[in-house]
Amino acid sequence: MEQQLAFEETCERYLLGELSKAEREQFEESYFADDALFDRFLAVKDELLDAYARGELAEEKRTRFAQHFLATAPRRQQLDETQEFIRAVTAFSTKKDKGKAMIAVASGGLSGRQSDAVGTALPAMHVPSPMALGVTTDKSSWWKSLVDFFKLRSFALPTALAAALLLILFSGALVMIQFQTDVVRLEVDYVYKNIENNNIAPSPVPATHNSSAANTNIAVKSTSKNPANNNQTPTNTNAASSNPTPKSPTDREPPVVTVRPPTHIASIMLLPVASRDINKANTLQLSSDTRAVRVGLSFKNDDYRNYNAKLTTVAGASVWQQKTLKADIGGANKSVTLQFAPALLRQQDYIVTLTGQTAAGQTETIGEYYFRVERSSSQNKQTQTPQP
Amino acid sequence: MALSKTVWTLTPDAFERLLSSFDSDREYAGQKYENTRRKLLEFFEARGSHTPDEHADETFNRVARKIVEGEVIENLNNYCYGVARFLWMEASRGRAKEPVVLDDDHAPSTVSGADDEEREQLRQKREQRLECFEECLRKLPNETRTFIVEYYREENGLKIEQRKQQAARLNTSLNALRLRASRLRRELGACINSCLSCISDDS
Repeated sequence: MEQQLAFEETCERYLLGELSKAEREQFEESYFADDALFDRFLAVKDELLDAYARGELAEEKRTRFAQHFLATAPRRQQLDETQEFIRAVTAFSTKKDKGKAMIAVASGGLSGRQSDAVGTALPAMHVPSPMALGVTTDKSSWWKSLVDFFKLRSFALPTALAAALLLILFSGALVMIQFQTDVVRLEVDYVYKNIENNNIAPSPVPATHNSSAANTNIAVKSTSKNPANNNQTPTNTNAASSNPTPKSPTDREPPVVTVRPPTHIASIMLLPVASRDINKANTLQLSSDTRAVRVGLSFKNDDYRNYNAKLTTVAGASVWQQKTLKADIGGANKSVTLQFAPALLRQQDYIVTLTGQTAAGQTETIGEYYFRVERSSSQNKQTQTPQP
Repeated sequence: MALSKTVWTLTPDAFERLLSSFDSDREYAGQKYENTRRKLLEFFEARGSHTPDEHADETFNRVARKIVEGEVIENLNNYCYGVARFLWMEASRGRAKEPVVLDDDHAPSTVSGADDEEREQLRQKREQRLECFEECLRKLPNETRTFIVEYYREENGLKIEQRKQQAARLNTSLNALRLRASRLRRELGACINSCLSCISDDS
């Protein structure tokens, strides 16, 4: 166990660039010589990527991971693939659960006892006519006849009640299916919205509807009691599918609404300034919950065909750049908006240089923008159950 | 990263000889080749290479050339590692002379600058990938599919704890569980890539 932990630590340190040269070469020689050890190393790497993608790394390790591991494009690509994989698995799982729920409803969607009741009630749906049952048709005592009907033909009462119960349950089931369909549609919409709107690592939770405009984040999750979807008491889903015991729709709990703190997109609007003074207005606060950074660059200038922005540290190291940006016009001012992953930023000062390309193809500098990045720890998730 | 490629080109015969140096059985040789390639990718990634694929291919080219030239290689994996280290040193020497290359491909296309057609293509690509993923997942045996879905799907709460429970239920160690998931994921990845290449061939 200790050996395993030491091995994991070595793998992580290797991936985070923290081994000395000698240690690194020794580790590499080991994995080049030993396929099984290399497999274990890949598993640790997968786990690290997975934990980062899910936001489950401790703050300090998360920062190290972002600064070193995500420094090159191929590894960022691996992170994207991990996030996509988690989303795809989750979407598949959700679809499967939905399919199971529909099968359960189609076959009654009830507990064993209720299912038995329905099984006996179904033939009784064909209710014999009063004449056939020998009931009097005396109009003055219709209610008395009704009482007599139930009194004399005691089997008819459970029959009618069972039929009514079946109708109620069926209606309830339909409502639940509609609700689940809406949730799945929301999830699919969300995934496509992320795909269409940006390439920045979206929240790996497909059930999360991320409204960047409102800067709120609400996740709706169906609390289906399907054993395959129960986190608290996980069971073998194969066994679950061969012996399903889904609950009646009426037994299901209300949907849980998870409210996340509004910290997923960090935005800042910058003005070109002559000095490099840092104040509150040009300080960007990031937390581990931040999924994207938006930097607006405001300027007053002539029209350019397109704009380029280059992000560097104050020491001059290039961090990121974006070409062929288009400007938005708001009153007398224009602005361009940059959007990138927070992993690119460390806790330090940065400069964005905005240039414009003239119709003749010449590049002119429009301005430089200074800002500081401050990182804080994440906030806890809150869960609440909505009132009916 | 500067990479002075060999003038020598890899011929089919040289590649065959490289493969047979891994193993006399062609199938095993292919697996071993892939495995070594993966190790080379990790090696170059760990050194901050922006093009680990290119570096890995160039390493194999150089090794194949040595084999064709008659060099007797006792341990091919170790030999590849040695060549990779040398190649990286060589590439690093030229690095200081070059201007800094920015990762343009990481820059997300902003809303204002993005082309609709490009976005639609991206969406279609992702959709195809998702279809391939589902197809590959369906090809797996039930038990394996259930395992991978349970291991990777997004849940509310800490995944680590859920995986511990999964390991306990399957009566295995967390480490074995992780290894299995990692291997299955790589197999799925290979299946998805093959499915995607079939789609692109059809179109």
